[in-house]
Amino acid sequence: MTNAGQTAAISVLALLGCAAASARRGSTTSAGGGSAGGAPPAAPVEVARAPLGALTVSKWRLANGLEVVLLPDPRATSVSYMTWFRVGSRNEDAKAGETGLAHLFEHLMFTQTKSSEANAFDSKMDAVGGSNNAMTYYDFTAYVDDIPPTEMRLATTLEADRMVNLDLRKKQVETERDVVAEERLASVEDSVDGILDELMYGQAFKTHPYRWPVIGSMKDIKAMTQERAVAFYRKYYAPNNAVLVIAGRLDEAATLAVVAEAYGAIPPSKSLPLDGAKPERAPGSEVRTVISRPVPADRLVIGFPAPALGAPDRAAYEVLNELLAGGPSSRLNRALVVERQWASSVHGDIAPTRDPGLYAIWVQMTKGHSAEEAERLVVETAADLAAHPVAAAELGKAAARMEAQFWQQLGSSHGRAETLGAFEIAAGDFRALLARGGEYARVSASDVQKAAADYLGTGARSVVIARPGAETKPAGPVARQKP
Amino acid sequence: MSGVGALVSAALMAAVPPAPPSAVPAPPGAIRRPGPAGSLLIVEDDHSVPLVHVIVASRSGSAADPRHREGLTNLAAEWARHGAGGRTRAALDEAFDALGGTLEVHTEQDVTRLEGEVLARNLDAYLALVADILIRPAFAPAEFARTRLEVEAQIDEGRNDDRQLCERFFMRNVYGEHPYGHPVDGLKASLDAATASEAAAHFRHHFGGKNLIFAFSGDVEPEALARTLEHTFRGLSAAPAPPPNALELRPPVSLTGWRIQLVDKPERQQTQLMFGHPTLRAADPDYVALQVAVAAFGGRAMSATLMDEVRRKRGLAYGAYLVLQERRGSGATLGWVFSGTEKTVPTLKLVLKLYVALMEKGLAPADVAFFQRFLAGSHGADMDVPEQRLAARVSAEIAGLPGDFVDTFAARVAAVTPAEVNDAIKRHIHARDLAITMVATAPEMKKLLVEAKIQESAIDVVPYDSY
Repeated sequence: MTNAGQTAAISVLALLGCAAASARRGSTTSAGGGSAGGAPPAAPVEVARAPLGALTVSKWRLANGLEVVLLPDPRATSVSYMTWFRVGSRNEDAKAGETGLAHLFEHLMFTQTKSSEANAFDSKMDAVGGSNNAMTYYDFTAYVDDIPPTEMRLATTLEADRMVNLDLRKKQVETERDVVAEERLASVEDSVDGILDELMYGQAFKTHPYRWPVIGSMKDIKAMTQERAVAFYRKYYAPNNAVLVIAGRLDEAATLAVVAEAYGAIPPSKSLPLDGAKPERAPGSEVRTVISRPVPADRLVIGFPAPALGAPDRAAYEVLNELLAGGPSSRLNRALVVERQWASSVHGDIAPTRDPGLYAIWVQMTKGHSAEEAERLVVETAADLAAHPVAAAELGKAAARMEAQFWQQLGSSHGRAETLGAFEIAAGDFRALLARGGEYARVSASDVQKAAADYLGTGARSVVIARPGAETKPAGPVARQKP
Repeated sequence: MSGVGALVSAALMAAVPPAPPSAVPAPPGAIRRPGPAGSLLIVEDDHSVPLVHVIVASRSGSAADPRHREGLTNLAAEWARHGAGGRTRAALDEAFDALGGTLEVHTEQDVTRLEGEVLARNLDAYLALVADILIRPAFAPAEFARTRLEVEAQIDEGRNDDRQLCERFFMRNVYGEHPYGHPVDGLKASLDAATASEAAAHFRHHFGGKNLIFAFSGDVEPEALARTLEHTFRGLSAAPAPPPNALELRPPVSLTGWRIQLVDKPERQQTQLMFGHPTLRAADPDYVALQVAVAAFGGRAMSATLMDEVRRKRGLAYGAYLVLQERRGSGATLGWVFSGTEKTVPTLKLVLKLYVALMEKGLAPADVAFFQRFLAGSHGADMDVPEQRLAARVSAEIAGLPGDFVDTFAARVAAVTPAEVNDAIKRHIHARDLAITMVATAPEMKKLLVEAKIQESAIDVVPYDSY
């Protein structure tokens, strides 16, 4: 049933604040042939098992290093099959003009393999009602197949095939370059939030790869070549650089059997590059940019330093965000939107990154009020949280909302696979997610106070303001580029 | 193979088994029974996570707005949400948040939903707050003025998003003066003209029990819930439901030719483009057959004609889609594509050519079978989550579809014949009579359109902040 007014499923990464993630499209498809062969592979080895509510999550490892996380649910009506590769924009060589390569390559994974014709992945998936998509972020590239439960073998066959047998053609690289250029126009050039986000990260980080955008610069997108894409594929796409996360209506033993059959004979890479990115706490000081755009009133984003998704103080930091810019009764919402009516909306996103990232507070001002008014209020409110312990009732309210959000993201097969995958990649273990649910209730007033002081109270922030008016190009490190 | 089906590759079609679809599990069923004060109650219990999703839907949406009071339904519901049961807005917000609960107002043409979710252990307390909003709204005058300013500011904020902006203008372009044509959140002039007493009366008129659907999914016990609802909502009005806006059920005035509207926004590098026309009601016997046609032409499958031709073969746009709105009155086909400025005219020409081909040639049987399988198979993923099923059940009920529509959708799709699909196309696709709305920088785009032999006088240019 297609209904323009129907509410879309909530993206877990959106809940986690994955504003910079870039997806191939709204939803898709492609084909291939099996890649396994020779002697039967060794049986997968169980490496972890843990309860999630009434369900159970297990993790397995194949002899070639491929990891598999399974979450069966007999009430589900579909299966969400996600393949997460530990490669994202952080692995690009910006100096060589390769920003955006991980994302562009994600698009190319839907072309053809050595054993299948062009677009076969899409057509075979479409033929059974599968919906597929992909997403690229700083730390990962993930391929998503939401399929009928009867089509597990199809998914394993297609995904295993393109993991190692992709056969790129020059014309397809050129066509997808055009498509990605259009994607960038929609999500950055003609999107005020897109350009603010890009500028916020670009001026905050000085050395870490989070400083360039996931989608890449327009110049680099247009210069991408088939040779670079093939080299990237050979470097990073291997079973020992991936984790499958499969959630939904599935049988654990039967699923492991088809996974082992499809992937077991794929050899591991013996030359995976080491990730050389050195974590950077950013921004190190106050940095700011002001641009003009056709907006009705000032739009503001403030980026504060934030802990990584798996950091010990992450739960406290998320509670801090909830107190500041969470529900309708959060401090900033009440002060800016309800009481003063300086703004029409305010919300906060903490990036779900593997290394320390940014906490972005977004504010849309109303006409007649400047972004600086809101910025002052944000800083004062943060300072108050750093100076005074939060009352028990307010803390309990935030914890209740966090508990509800935790379960909300785990309501669907897709949401479960997405959240488990994000934690596998960024926190190193899906069990960090399961533990997180209980951590919110244990966050104390002093934990919140400390997080506010450590991260929001230092004066370091990356501020970007869009004011109404004729377009200006930023003088900062990330300049807009005409296509 | 003939018609638009020829656009889909032969290799693709060779892989297609005939309908019916593969064995896709049916979604778990829901209980339907009378609710408090003459309302309808829909419940689906699912205990996998300790949450309950809640929808209280009034069968009145923005189409029920009085003339020159566009946005009143939405404004009244927002105002009711801002204080009730002796609690100020701040106290009510605190109370919801403390329960781990959310409750937001969502208004569409046919329906206004109070929708949210709550930790299951707090459901009873949450329902007491919802009952306060429905039965004992504070309707404080100061809060009315505040709410109105907020709604107006949100309309301004929405202009930042070019797609949202395009849809706002497109609905007026496609529906004209029909009640579906104005924005659900209204216009500054109509909101300024609305009075507090009008809004309060409007809310009471449209949020009585007989006009409501109570819908729940998640960690609930249906029998216990029904008892709680009867007790908690015992003061709810059982007055007769208001009749639908008489104009709502009248077909919109037919479009003639291509009505081109250019929404002028400065410094655009890409054009947001929507096209479509009013067509059938959801309850029309051709509705499912037309959904199959729309899925084949512009659905989310990469094999659909628009995505294949516009994106995959030519790289003209990141996405190209067509959807069929599920409405009680005449829903619209809504096509959407976004291309860089210099590519807009070729993209427009291509999508219109393809749409005309769909109308004139229809679909080949192999295409119909392929997309029947796609629709039926993807239904499982679309309905995987209890809250998705709940939203679909409420939407179907509002649109006048049968009570089992969601549960039998895959079977209904499989039962459609190619002849029925092509008959539906002939009756309901009007590719030569279209509303076309573009958000772009007007001087630049108008020049390109004129160069493409479109008469300048046929292009209606409007400022992006004018509506």
